[in-house]
Order: sequence, then C-alpha cells, then structure tokens
Amino acid sequence: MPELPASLTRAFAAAALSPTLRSILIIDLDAGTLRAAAAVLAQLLTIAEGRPAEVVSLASAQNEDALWGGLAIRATSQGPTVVWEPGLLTRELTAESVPVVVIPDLAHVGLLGQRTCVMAMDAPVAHLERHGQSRRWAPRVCWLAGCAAADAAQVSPHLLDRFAIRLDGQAFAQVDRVAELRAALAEESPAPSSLQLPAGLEAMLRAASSWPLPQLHAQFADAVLQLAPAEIAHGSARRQLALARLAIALARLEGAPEALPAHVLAAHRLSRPQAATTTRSAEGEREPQQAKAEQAAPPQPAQAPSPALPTARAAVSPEPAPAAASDGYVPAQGAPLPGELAGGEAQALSALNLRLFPEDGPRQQAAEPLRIPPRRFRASAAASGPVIGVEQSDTTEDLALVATIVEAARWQRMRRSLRPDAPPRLQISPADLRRNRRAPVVEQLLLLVIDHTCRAGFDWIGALMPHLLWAYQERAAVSLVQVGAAGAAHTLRAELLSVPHVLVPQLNLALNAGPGYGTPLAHGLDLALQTLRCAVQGGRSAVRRARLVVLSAGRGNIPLDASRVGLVAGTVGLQGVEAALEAAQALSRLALVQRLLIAPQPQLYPELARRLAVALDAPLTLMAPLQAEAQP
Amino acid sequence: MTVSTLPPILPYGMIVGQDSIKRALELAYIADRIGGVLISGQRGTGKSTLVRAFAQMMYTKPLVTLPINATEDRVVGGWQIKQLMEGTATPQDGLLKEADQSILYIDEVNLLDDHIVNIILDVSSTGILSIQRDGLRAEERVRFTLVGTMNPEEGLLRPQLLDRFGLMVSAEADTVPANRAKIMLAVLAYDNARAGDPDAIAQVQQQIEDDQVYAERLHGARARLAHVKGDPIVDACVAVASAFAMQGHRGDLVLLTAARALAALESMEQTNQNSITVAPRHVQAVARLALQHRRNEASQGTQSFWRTPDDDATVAAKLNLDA
Repeated sequence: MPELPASLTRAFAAAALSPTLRSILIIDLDAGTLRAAAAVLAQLLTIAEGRPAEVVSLASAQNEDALWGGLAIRATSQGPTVVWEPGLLTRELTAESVPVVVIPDLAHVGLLGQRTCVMAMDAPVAHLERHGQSRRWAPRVCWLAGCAAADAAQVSPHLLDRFAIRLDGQAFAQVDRVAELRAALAEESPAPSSLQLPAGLEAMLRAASSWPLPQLHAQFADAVLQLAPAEIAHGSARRQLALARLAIALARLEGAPEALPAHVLAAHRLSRPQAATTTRSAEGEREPQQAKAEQAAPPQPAQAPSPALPTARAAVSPEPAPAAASDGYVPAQGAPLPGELAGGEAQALSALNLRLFPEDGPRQQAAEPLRIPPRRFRASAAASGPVIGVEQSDTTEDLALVATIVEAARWQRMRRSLRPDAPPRLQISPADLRRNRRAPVVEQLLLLVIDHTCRAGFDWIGALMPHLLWAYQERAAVSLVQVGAAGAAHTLRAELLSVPHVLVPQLNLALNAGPGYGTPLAHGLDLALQTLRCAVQGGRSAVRRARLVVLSAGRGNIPLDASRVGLVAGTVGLQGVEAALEAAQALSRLALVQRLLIAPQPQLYPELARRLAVALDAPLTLMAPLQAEAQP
Repeated sequence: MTVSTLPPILPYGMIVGQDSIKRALELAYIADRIGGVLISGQRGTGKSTLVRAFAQMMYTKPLVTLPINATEDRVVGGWQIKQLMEGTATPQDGLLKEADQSILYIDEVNLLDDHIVNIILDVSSTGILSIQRDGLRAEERVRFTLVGTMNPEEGLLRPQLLDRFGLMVSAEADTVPANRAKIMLAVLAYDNARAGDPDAIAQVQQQIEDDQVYAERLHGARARLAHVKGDPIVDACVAVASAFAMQGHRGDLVLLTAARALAALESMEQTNQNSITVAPRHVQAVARLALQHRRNEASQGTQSFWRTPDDDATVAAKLNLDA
C-alpha cells in the first residue's frame, strides 16, 4: 500500500489539528486517488476530533434537498409519516461523525454545488432555513476538492478563495512507482486504491493536540506578508490568514514552542513543490530527513527555539481593539528576514503561482455543470423554477408536503371511521399526494447589442432575422441592448430591454428605433457582459446556452466612464473604441455563449469592425446595402 | 469565560479597519429608517464577519440570516410540519417576522432567487408581511434593517432591491502592510482563544466588555436621534442630491437621516442632548454612503460609482466646505 506524499501528509495533519484549515484543494489528482486521500484525511480527523469521520461525495447530490435535507414520507409501523431527512451537509446535526465532503471535480460540480460551497465553506455559522427546519450551528465539515489544472481557471475566484490549503497532485508523481507496482503485485487485491498513513503520524498528531499553542515570533507576520503580499489574491485577507494558520499548525506538529518565519516558509512550500525542488533550498533538502526522523519517533514538545531568533511574545501579542490599533503591532520595516527568507529565493517564492492559484490571473467564467443534461424547450418545468402552486401527483418527487397533509386532513374523520383500530396519527393515502407546480425556466437567451447609428442604408433586418427566428423556435428569452437609439433617456448611455420571448411588441418597437446622437458602444457591451454573467452564472439561472449578436461598425465614441457618470470630461479620442474592445475581450471569455458580429460593409475605418470581431473572438458577417430599395 | 462560552464570531472591536462599513452599520442602527446597508466588495475583505460581529454586539438574540437557498415557507412563515402531522395546526414564524425590530442579513444577496427577492421587496417597501399560503392567512407589521453582502464579480442586484438599501459601502481590501499584519494578528488571537489559550481568552473577554460599552453608546445615540432636528440641513441635502441627478426622493431622505444619525452619534461626547446640532459636515461625511448606488440606476451597468476626488469636491462645493 503506497504512502501519502510528505507534502500532503503535513497539510492533512495541519488541517486535522486546526479546524480553520479544513478546506483543501488538490490540483491534478485523479478521482480515485483523491478518494483514497480523503480516507487518510478522515483517519487523521478521527484522531484529532476523537470521533469518527465519514467521507461523503458532493458529486452524488443532485439537488438542494440532497445536500441540506428535505421532508419525505416514510412508512413506519404506525403507518406513513412525514419525517425530515438530513442531507449530506446537515447529517452532522443528527450524527456524531465529522463529515469529510469530497468534491471530485470542482470545475464541473455545477451551479448548485458551487453555490453550496460558497455558502458553507469558511463560514463560522451554518444556517438551514428549509422546509420548516430552522437551524444554526457551527459546522465541522472538512472539504477536500480536486480539480484539473486546465479547468481551475474557470472556477469562480470567489469560490477558490475559500480554500485554505492548495496542494499539487503532482506530488504523487514523486512516489516510488517501482515500489508501488511491486506492492500492488504482492497484494494482488482487487480492492480500490488506498493510501497508508505514515508511521508515527498518529502519535505526532495526538502529541500536538496536547501541547500548548506556540507563540509567534516577532517576525512571523512579516514573513507571512512577504510570501503572501496583499497585491496577490486581489487583496483578500484569506490568503494571508491561511498561510499564517498553516504555519502555526506546522509549528504545533513539530512541537515548537514558537511559530517561526521558517514555519511560514515551510507552509508556503507545501503549495510550491516545484519551487522547493528547483531551488534546492535547505528546507527542501531537510524535509525527507525530517520525515524519517518523525517516523522513528514523534518529536518532543520542548524543542529549543533557534538562539538567533529572539522570543518576543509581547511584541506580537494580538491586536486587542481598534482603539489600541495604532500602538499595537509595529512591522519591522526594512529589517532583514531570518535565514532562508532573505534574498532572491524569497522573491521567487512570492511570485504568482497560477497553477494552484489561478484566480491571481485574468478572470474566466465558471464552468458548465456536466452532470445535468441540457433541456431544449422552455416548456419543461424544472425543479429549480419557483413554486407557483400545487397539483395532484402519483409520485413523491418534489412533494408539496403541507398541501399533501392538508388534503389528508380533510378525510381523517372518514378514514378513522373505516379503520377505528388504526393508531391516532394522520392517515395519508396515495390520493393525497400533491407536488409543487413550478414556473417554467428559461434555458436559452438571445442577447442583441444593436448600434442604431451604423445601420442606416443596410439590410439589418435580413441580418438579424435568422437569430430572431432561432429565438422563436427555441422559446428563448431576448435581451436587447440599444446603443445610440433615438429617444434614449440619456445620450451617453446604452439601454437594456429584457423580454421573455421574441413576440413581445415592445421588442419590435425598440428594434426599429432610429439613430440617436452618440454611440456608447463600450457601455452597451459592458451591459451585455453584466447581463450574460447574470444569466449564465447568477442565482439558480437555468440558461444553458446564450447567443450574443452584436450589430456594430465598432465605432464607439463615448468612453465607459463618461457613460457611467453621464458626463464627458476632457478629450475623448480613441477612449470609446478602446473601452469597447476591452469589454468585447471580457465577453469573449464567457463560456456557454455563442458570439457573432454583424457589421455594415466598410465605408470608413473598416479595421474597427475587424478589431472588434477579433476582440469578441466572433465571426464577422457583413450587412448588404439596401441599394435596390434606395434607388427608385 | 471558557472556550465553550466564547462568541462564535470575533468581537466587533477586534476587527481592524473597514471604518466605512462600521459607520454604515452603526448609522443604520441609530436610525433604522435608513432602511438597510448593502456591502459590496471583493472576496476576503471581512464583509460577512463584520456584519455578524456587529449583530453579536448589538442584539441579544442571534442574527437572523436568510441563506440563499431558503425555502418560501421559512421566509414568510408556514406551519410546523411535525405538529401538523400530529393533527395540531401550529403556525411557524418565517425569517421576516423573526427579523422584526432587528437585522435581516442576507449573505451573497446577489445570488438570491428572484421570487424570494420579490417577497422581501414587498415586505420591506410596505412594512406589512402578508401570508397567504397553505391555508394560512395572516397580516402583520414588520420592520427590519436589511443588511446584504455581495461580491460584485458574481453579478449585480436588481435596481428595485438596490433601492431598498439606504446606504451602500464598497468594501475594499486594506493593502497597507502594517494594517494587514494587524488584521492577521487579531484573527490569530481569536483562533488561539477558540483553541483554549487562557491569555487569548482573557483578551477576547476584555474586548467583549469594551464592545458592551460601545454598544451602550450606540443605544444612547439611537435614543437621542429624535432630538436631532434636520431643518438646518434640508437645503444642503437637496442641493447635494440634485448635483448627482438622483431619481426620486429616497436619496434626499436617506442623506438627511444618515447625517442626523451621525450627529447623534457624535453628540454622545456631550451631556446636553437638547443642544445637538447637525451640520453640513455631517452631510459631507455620509454623502457617498447614501448616494453612490443611486446615481447610476439608469445606466444599469454598475452599482456603485464614485470618483475620488471629483465627486468629493462636488459634495464639498455644494456644502461650501473644503473637500
């Protein structure tokens, strides 16, 4: 049985020791190994918490009731009764075990899973307000997710930020493959792959739990700030807190009385195995020896701190109050950091690590949930649509419990007279079952961005007609962004009109509006971007496919800031064009969106339309002039 | 105090920085007529923690939190299912009723379902909670302070819901290293207290006592609000709101109310509550909070836009003050 790699062992042990670190993301680790790693993590949590840990998979949860619990009718010896059954994340309310929630593929966990993670991960208090249940509790869930490096950039940065520990699955590649193969041959067991808990780790964890908390070295905070500067992670404090907490946990595992900058460096390296090996640092070379020593005997708590490093608890005592904030912590400005943190290596280690922290790079769209097959027609009432009533049902799917009970109550007197010996409980028959009627959900969206100032003399109706027909056939919702339309409320701003389908008369009126006086193309594309983000990403939106059709010559003449403020300040120049190209590039990064640019045949500045098409990453179609009708 | 009696959130006074959010929450508490606070900001800026810590300090009951996956029966109210099964019809209050006279907090408010948003809009605009579902018919007056936090990267709010928030704060990360270190050390101190470190527990205990003193100050300011007459700044509020082309009068009213609340808070330094004066400088201090999310409703593309220093200069000019 192979052993867990050293970097994962230390990170898992730290997470077991410190509840604030119990959200771990491993990049590029196959689902089977992730599951095996989860089993090891569960063992460690069992040791640390003194109660069993249970591995559950988020991939098996198809709806919110499966995650958070729901009401169900269950047969009992006294007849059918309604019970609340906990879901994956609320099982801890009724069970003693600590849940280890495994997410095999974070990028493809779907909107429901991502929303759940954003709600529940890193929250000090969890809330359940569903189906008559009102609970508040301190969650003990430990999260372990896997994600392919190629897909990680598509996960919402908001969600990625919640993972306290990031690890590289490549660490498994460093395991002795020959020994692993021989061991597998020797076992010849068809059992699923499993990983062995390193020897001595259990004793180390038990010992670490009983030792006093380490004090912070005077330069501990400086080390954290140097390796996780505010500039990365867009200023999120979580990154620094996670690094600090991991460093403290590592110090506890070693039995160190003080958390040193070297612990910060060690914590940082857990997320940078490549840096550790390529730089051949002293720490990196020491790790294997240290691991062997740990296997031989668990470390003792009273290790002496380095004599070169003063212990200065008073200087780093945590901040008590805002009133005292000004005279509390004083950073050691300009002071050299001890040992390995100084010099070029520190600079290399604080560089961006886009493989494990893809949110530090340019933002990209969240991925499409793969497990839910797309529905093509708007008429299908998905379970995600809001409840608009109840109807009779012959299954227990999406049951309207109260309506069912109320229906059953009407017949109680009659049923009791027929069964006088029945227990004194509500008697429910299949005829009482009522399910929720739900509003249909929009699954497709046509988004038109129409520049009214560029289309005079061109067959824009012919160019748009195929897309309007598509919207009609697919029962798609339509959003229209009008750029430079006559009668606009504000000349400097584009306007958004959203209608549930293409036959709404208001849409026809808006499409036929004449040209206005300005071309706020950048604002129009920015509106389109916001609209698409909401439609494809926001809430429980069911939009699975959107078509974006931009009709423009690319000649925006109003800067985005001017549109927002409602005032043009100074010289405009090319600002309007450049802002439009920037918005178009953001649009090009959206997944699930089919893009198309329609432009008039070039008369002036033909390169603008081409540049816009490139920025949008969309094919360019030219509108034909209306010469036949124009000439008598 | 022991680990088991520690509050679930670190005390309000231990939260370093984010003064704008603190001010907005405090003003909305002093003058609940302000209507609510929307905190919009990037990830990891402590938005949710600050709201929870404030509620922990100000209210004796737990913060009423509306999770984004709440079902309608829990939002508006319904029947107790267990009792119903036993043949007894017992109503169960929803979150909107539970939040009466306190805060209704919605984390990730921009991810809330539309039909729940509609319910909240209806109740917050009329002040009447009307329950007409599952055979339950009731109508009650409720008044709560709506507090929402959101990350604008995940989408924006509907203009109607945005309008229900009296004040809006743009939470920004503090990038000054010294402040970052203070934030980190404060959180680690609280971690230590949770882990049972006696020194850290004592520190948290002391901070909770300090928080109670500060809460008394806010209670006092709330009681004094009625003594702060807004007449001297009515013209100033209208002038400032007009300069930003506000639609409707809600902006004027919130500006005036927030300025009065600030004057009431500042007056806690003085003993004579009959001589509290509200001045243009109070309007200046709250102008951004009250106006930034209202000026661009027509543009729809952004929900807070404040140009520093230009907009600050506009406010100052309208109030005849230095920027």
